[in-house]
Amino acid sequence: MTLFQTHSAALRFDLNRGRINNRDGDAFVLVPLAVMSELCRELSEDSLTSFGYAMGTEIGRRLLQRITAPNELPSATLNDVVAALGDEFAVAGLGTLGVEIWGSALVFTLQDAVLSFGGGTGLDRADSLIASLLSGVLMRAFSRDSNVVALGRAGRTARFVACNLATSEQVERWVEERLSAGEVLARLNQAVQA
Amino acid sequence: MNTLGTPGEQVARLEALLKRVRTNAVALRNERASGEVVSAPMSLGPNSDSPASGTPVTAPTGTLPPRGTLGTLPDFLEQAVTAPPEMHDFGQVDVDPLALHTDDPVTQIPPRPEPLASALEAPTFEDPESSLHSLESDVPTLPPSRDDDIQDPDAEHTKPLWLGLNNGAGTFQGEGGYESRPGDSHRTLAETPAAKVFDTSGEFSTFDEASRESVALTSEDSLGGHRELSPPDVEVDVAAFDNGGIGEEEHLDTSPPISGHRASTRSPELLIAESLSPEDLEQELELGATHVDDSGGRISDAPPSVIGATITLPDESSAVSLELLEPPPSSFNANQGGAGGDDLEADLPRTSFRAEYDASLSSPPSAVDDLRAHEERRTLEQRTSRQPERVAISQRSEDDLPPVLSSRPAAPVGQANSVVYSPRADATGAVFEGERAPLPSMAFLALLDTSLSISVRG
Repeated sequence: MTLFQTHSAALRFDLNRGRINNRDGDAFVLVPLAVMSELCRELSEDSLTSFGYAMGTEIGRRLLQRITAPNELPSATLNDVVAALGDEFAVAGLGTLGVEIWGSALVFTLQDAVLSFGGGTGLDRADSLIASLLSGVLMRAFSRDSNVVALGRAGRTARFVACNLATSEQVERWVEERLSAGEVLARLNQAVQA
Repeated sequence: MNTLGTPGEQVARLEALLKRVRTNAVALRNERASGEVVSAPMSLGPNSDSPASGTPVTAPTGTLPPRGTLGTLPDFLEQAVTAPPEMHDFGQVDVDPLALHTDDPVTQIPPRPEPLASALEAPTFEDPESSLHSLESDVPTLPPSRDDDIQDPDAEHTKPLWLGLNNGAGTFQGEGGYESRPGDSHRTLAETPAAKVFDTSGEFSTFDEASRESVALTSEDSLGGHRELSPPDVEVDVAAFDNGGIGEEEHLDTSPPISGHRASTRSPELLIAESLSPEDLEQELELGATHVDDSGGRISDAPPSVIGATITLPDESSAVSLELLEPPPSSFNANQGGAGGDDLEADLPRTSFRAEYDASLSSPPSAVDDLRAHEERRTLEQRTSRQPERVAISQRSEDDLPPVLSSRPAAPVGQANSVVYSPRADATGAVFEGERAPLPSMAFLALLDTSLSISVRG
């Protein structure tokens, strides 16, 4: 079953009125990446998290709207969600969304992520923004309180793991210890088997 | 009385005529090379079969020859170049290349190259042994009349509907949902050089554009023939969908291919490619009245149900998508002149189509199916040569996936099960990467809850 309608015109540019709308009528603005990066660099961690969370809730709302029957949400397959959410990420210009399953851990991947704000701890601050965004999506679309933690970038792929609030603190500590994404995920699954 | 003589005599005269034409063509080339003007009197009259030779003259006549003769060769050439096609005078017999056409879009027969000898066929032709009789056997069988395709209002419409165009980014627009069949539904007008005919069954076929000289498209017929028409500045493919799709399955596959020109004759509901300028297209979309009929590639004022269009630039490097998101008001009718006009379209269902594919409704194998299968294979090969990774993706099926994620230990780095979003994905909307163990079609919420249940002891 395909729960989501695909669409061929994600954004409509009304040049006469100077408006950009998606298929649901939501207004958009185009901001150059450099300006966006400059803005985010000036934000504090809390503000950056709030910004990302707000973006995520908006995306989560549209994700819900694209579901043909809301009561079918629990049966939405992984592929359905990745397709719909990937559409939103692609339209937003954030990169190519993916999902990996590492044992019990649900890991979001973002390839060709263009956002990069730099960071002193080996973790790009843009990844923190994306992690907050994904948390907002899960909260708005699936009503799950979760923390999505950025695991760092490997090549062109950034990874984010979805975990509960308590576990997320431990995962963040592992990341600060410069553990690789694979090592962090292995520890998570060791905890499951224990 | 047959003034043209027996068919054998006609053929002999025709051969002599063609020989003279060739001779004079050579003479004309010589004339161009030497600057000398050569004329060759030519006539199709019974007494005109004397050998003709180039005769130097001082100047061309500059006037059209009288009806019944071809005149001098320069005149003939000038006439052929300057006069519109319908004004061409080929002698005593008027040749109508569209003589076999009818106005019925269903029974319309694509034009066939008429042997020149047929133009000389006398009305009192009697020689049964003549090869000219073979013309009768070449006439294709007409498809069933549209009167035979009376739509059953009770018929449940369970055929998948092709309701949109691929905009080059790999997504389809569907009303009420769309589910494509893996591997065969992602052909776009932009991707394929041939003009494609899409119908409401989700199938497609190719028809030969040779019957529509005015449409400047590269055409590739269903039998593999290739025909290059003059390329347009901008090639615009317009998709139109008629609202009368209910009961479409009642006349599916009822028409045999006609000499490879058309593999489908479901004309009212077809999506037709037409060559328009972007400005015209935009205007038509705004009007909501674009309905490109296949009965000659014309745009009619049919029910406004244009749902998508793709403008393909000549170099196929990019594509622009125009989409009519909202269906036009049902009361709109371009033919609706004054007040009180009946709005026949208002009662027609517009969005009540089901998008599920029902394999049980597939027609039994037929020549049309074989032709389509051949076309699909050929298109797939073309796509494979251009985009092999996409073909590999589309051949994946969600149902083929083994179960996973029970208590599987953590996969080593780089070997996690993954699903990656891709705008070129099949109906599942996702692409399974490489040779990694693919994911099952589990509910996302279950996967999320499993991940959130991980508890780490500090």
